[in-house]
Amino acid sequence: MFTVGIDLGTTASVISYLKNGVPEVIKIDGGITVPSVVNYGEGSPIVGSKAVYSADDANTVFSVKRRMGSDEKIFGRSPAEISADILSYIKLSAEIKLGKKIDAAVITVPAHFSDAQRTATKQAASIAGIKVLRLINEPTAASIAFGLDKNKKGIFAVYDLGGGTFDFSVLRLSDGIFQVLATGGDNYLGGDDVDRMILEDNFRKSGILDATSNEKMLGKRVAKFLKENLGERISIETDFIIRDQPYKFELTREDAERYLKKIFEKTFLIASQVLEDAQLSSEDLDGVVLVGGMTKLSFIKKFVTESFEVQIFDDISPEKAVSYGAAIHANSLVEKNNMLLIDVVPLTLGVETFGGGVDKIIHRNTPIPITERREYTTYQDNQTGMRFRVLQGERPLADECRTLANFELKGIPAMPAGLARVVVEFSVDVNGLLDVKAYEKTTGISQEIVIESSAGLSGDEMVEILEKAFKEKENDEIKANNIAIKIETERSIKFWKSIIGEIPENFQEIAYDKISKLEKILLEEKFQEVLLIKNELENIFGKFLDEIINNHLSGKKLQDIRRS
Amino acid sequence: MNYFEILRLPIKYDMDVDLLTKNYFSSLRSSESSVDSGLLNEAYSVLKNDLKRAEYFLNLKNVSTEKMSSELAIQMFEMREKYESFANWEEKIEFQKKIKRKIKELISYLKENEGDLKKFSEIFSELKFLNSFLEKERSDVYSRD
Repeated sequence: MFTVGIDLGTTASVISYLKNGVPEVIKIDGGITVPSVVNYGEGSPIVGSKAVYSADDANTVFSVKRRMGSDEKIFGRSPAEISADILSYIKLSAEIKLGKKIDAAVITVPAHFSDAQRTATKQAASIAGIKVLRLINEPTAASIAFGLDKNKKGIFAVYDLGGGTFDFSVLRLSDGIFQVLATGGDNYLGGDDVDRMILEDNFRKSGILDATSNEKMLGKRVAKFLKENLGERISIETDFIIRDQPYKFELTREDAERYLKKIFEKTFLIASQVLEDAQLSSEDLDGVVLVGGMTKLSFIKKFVTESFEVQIFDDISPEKAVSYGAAIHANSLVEKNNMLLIDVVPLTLGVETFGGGVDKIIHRNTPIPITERREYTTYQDNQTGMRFRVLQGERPLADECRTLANFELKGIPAMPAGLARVVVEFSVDVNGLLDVKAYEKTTGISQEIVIESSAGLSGDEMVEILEKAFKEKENDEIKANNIAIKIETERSIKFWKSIIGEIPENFQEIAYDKISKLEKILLEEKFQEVLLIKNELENIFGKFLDEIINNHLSGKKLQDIRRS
Repeated sequence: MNYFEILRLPIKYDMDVDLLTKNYFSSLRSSESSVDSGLLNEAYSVLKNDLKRAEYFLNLKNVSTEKMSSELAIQMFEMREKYESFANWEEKIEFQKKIKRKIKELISYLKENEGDLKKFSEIFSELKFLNSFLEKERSDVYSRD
């Protein structure tokens, strides 16, 4: 059985597998990460670098992960379907690259992902035809990669600060055991906040107090550009034209440090609470493992070291660690080796009580899988129904928590108040997914509640999409695979031709030769050979791809902005 | 089987946490089904928590943990009033810290008194209240989403 680990990220995704027991990234289009970007301009989806390079923003979806679990439709598609397009592309490209079929995968999600978001992720995988062995939390996955690589024992924290989310988890590592002690985070905290602060300050300085959402969007790009290009400079500035007026947008080192400090303080508050939940203090930590793009910044490293007064580990690649951990875990689930992974419920689950309070049924940081029951009774004579609101969150009032579902247990036999015995059973499985059951004990009347109301896709929609996906797979598999190789190769050729002028000249000639050869054998349908040469070209272009895309993006965006 | 037996521990409130964790890991490793591991997780999460373990211990000894003495209720009511009267944030934090210290103290007191169930259950009532007091003040770590 061939398994992989997939880090399905907000801005980029990574796929890894175990090669002779050692995790290795399967490079897609020559790169380690695949931008989590899908373009629908041509009808059929274009994914990754090619979608970014298409620069067709009007038909492109970025950061769909943020919308997972919502019932939004983007270009007529649910977030799960769009994620499925990313997953399909990754799966297909990896299969072509390695020449074998992927049987199953472990996919990672943020530790704080809600039930709806996890369900949507699982749906995305099934639409993409990927069997999910397990969904695991990103910080846990990172700690697996870290623990195995360094062979560490002790108590470690994973500090994961990315573009848009923050996760902090405390784990105990020992002899192949990865035990999450507590976890916490914020869904909306990260690098994007820096962009927002740069934008707000500059708008204020320029006297623009009534910016439209479109102007804010343009401004945010300029802010992001300033942030990414500050580097070691004292300050950086650029022109920004709105309403036909030229403005100067500026970012100083001092300001940048102030913004980052603000963000760090918020993360530190969350981290302190997580440590307290684990009944630990920062002196108990043997180290903090840094994960996520923002932790590459020296400011953040400095803040973490000083505030936690602990050694930081920043030498595992933050890009690869999560998918490595997923690949290792996928393999261990299939091989049934001695590795033990104990994860927890990230947020307390309960039901609303009479009067708007919350009865907590499964507390946060309880190890999973877990089942807990509570018994309730009727408060009126001859009451035949009981309504329940399933809640997630730590706040004491129901209205301050997130509602996962509403349901009613009907058909309770008429009896005096206080005699009926209604049992509500909450189960959280190894994937962190919640299942709720309710039954009346004396009569056995029961009801099962599937928590999918806010997951974006109803059961019927899901069946329809799956049927469509399966029908497509009914064709002869080899034939289907060859067609896929053909389409994919043609797309790559088109893409390479468009950027060939941007790679160093000494590589251009080799690339031209190989592309012509590839076109020839593609017509002859020699697919084995096609794969070989495609692979060689991917390696050539892969070397320069990141740079080309970056140049292209920042250059292009600035021109766009100047023009508007 | 009760939780103590499931994790191969003597039925005692004062417990060796390292042994608890060790037995939990080894049982998880040999557990065949997710039902088994669900039960192990249930037992472990109750036993490792000082407060939940106290409640479970009392229930095993057939002592009810529902009622709170009226004396304690009044005491607690006064405490909340005092807390609400604090004008600034620092005072509230300081008060919370005081409660946390008190909780620690009461837990060690519990361990000394597991022979005397009446006393044990009185200490537990006070602990339970103090804890729920803190829980109410706890902000949601996932503040926005």
